[in-house]
Amino acid sequence: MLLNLEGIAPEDWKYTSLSEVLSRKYTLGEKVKAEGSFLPGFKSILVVNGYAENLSEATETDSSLPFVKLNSQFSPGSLELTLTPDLPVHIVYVTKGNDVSSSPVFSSPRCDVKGEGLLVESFIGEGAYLNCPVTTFEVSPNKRIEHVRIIEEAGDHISAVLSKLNRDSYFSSTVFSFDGKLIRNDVVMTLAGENAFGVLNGLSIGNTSQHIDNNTVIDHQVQNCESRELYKGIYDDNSKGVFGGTIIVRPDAQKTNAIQSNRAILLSDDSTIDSRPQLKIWADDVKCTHGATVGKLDDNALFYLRSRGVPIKLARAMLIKAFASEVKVSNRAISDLIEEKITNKLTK
Amino acid sequence: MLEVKDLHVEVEGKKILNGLTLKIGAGEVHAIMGVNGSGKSTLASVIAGKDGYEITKGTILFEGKDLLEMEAEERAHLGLFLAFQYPVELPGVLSSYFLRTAFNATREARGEAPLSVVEFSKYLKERASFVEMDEELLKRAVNDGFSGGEKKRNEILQMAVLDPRFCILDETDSGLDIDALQIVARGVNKLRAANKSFLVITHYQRLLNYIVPDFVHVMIDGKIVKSGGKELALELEEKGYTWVRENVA
Ligand SMILES: Nc1ncnc2c1ncn2[C@@H]1O[C@H](COP(=O)(O)OP(=O)(O)O)[C@@H](O)[C@H]1O
Ligand SMILES: [Mg+2]
Repeated sequence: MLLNLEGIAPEDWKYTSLSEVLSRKYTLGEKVKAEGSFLPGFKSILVVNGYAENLSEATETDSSLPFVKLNSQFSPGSLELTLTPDLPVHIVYVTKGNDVSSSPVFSSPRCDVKGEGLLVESFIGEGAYLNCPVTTFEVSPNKRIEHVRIIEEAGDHISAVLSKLNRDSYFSSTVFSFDGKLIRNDVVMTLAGENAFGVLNGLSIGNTSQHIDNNTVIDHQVQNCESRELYKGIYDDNSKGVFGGTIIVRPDAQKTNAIQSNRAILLSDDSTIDSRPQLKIWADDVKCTHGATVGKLDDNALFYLRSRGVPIKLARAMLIKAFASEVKVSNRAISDLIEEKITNKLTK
Repeated sequence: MLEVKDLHVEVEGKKILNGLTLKIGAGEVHAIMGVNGSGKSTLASVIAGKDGYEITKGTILFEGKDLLEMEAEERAHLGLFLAFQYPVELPGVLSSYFLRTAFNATREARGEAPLSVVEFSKYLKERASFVEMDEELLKRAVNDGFSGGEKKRNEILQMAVLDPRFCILDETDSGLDIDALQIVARGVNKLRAANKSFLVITHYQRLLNYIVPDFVHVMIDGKIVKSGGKELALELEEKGYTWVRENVA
């Protein structure tokens, strides 16, 4: 089948070309066997090609994102998850693609999350495929949800993380983009109840010809909410990073406090980053700041380390990791795992 | 120990060092004094091995070995140390990890076994107390958010830990109040030894009251124009750099 996308907003896809993704013929992912490895102490859920046990019928979302619609259309069903504070959940999504000579697999897992607690989502796979997962969060009044996503795909990954924060709630989402030929994350956070606090963080590490696009939207709909956003990227070889950061402050959203930061380092001459912060502010009594920086590894810092005897390769790795370490995860088991993955990625 | 001969250095086509010659023996403390912009930090950086300088002429030998052929880290492994005029802040790099990595890289380069985390942390304590400094600084990221005085103290602390044989102190006194200056000077004096040499770069004579040099050199426009004993520093303080300039001319 060919993907039939409706309602593509060209300005949202300015730096990421879909021509290759849309030119391919796909076969729908089937229910097959696979294995995943899980964080100890977490409730583990395995999703393969979008299939898992106890799926409910996927409901429509109110998102107009084209790939979200596509997900609703093809998803085998929705994983309905109610988090509890005492048992964090780890979902491993496996996509079993086809070998490169035949048509790639299209997979569209869907997960709808509520309750309170910690959810980790890992994405792995093999072969040729396009994975289009959608995860939605409804954070009830006074509840707190933390979300961590680790992307290590073999194929392409075009995903959405949609969250709605109600009164006095807290939500944080941290997206680690490590592997995947084309990665596009649409992270949309809606602050819909007063005194909500939302955090969107991300760390992308690209090499070879990877293309990693994080398109984020923070929508302040009501007054007295705060949001924090930090997206960092490290790009080597001829990889390409894209960051879109839109902050909307609606007319009713007085006393909004929003801070956004996007920082990238380019390790090679052929790597690039396009950063596009956008503030759309319709209220007058608000505090919104945004900043974007792009740089190389600091020569002075590198010399400082080397002058103390640290060999150049190690010195570079130390500085890159230090840069990455600002994107933090509070859970120790996850942060250890992330650190290991960063080390692996950087020494590849 | 260190021999700089007729050194000419350019940066981006601009001549900064113009035939600088300097010889420092084992156990000696030399001071270089000079106004801002005379090329003192450039000399320090070139000895330590920073990239970006064009050495158009001259040599630098360390115990007979050609330093200009070596990378910065190789020079450190030989026992060279530069206390920076402007120490770099490294947020996210933990001091103790950084120092252990540097220390063990040096040991490995010398064919010695690295120290374990536990061994090293014990050694770190010993060295900090040897130079009478608080190891509190080492529990933070390297120089991250440090005050000017803390940064300078941290340089001396790192020097004590890495235990080099040839140390360059680049304006370690600048920005220090008298108490901090004494702490730093005391640390340096404790590290003085028959097999260690120091090159103390300073703008003012004040530091040399505490770290008393064997030789004093005056640098103008990338060249040493006058050398003498420690009394030269006092004379310079009294009569000013114009006096040297006029006497040389
Ligand atoms: N990286 C550089 N690029 C251009 N000019 C430089 C650079 N480093 C130093 N200089 C110039 O070289 C001269 C000497 O500088 P420096 O060695 O820092 O002097 P000092 O330490 O004695 O104050 C100054 O005129 C300075 O502007
Ligand atoms: Mg200087």
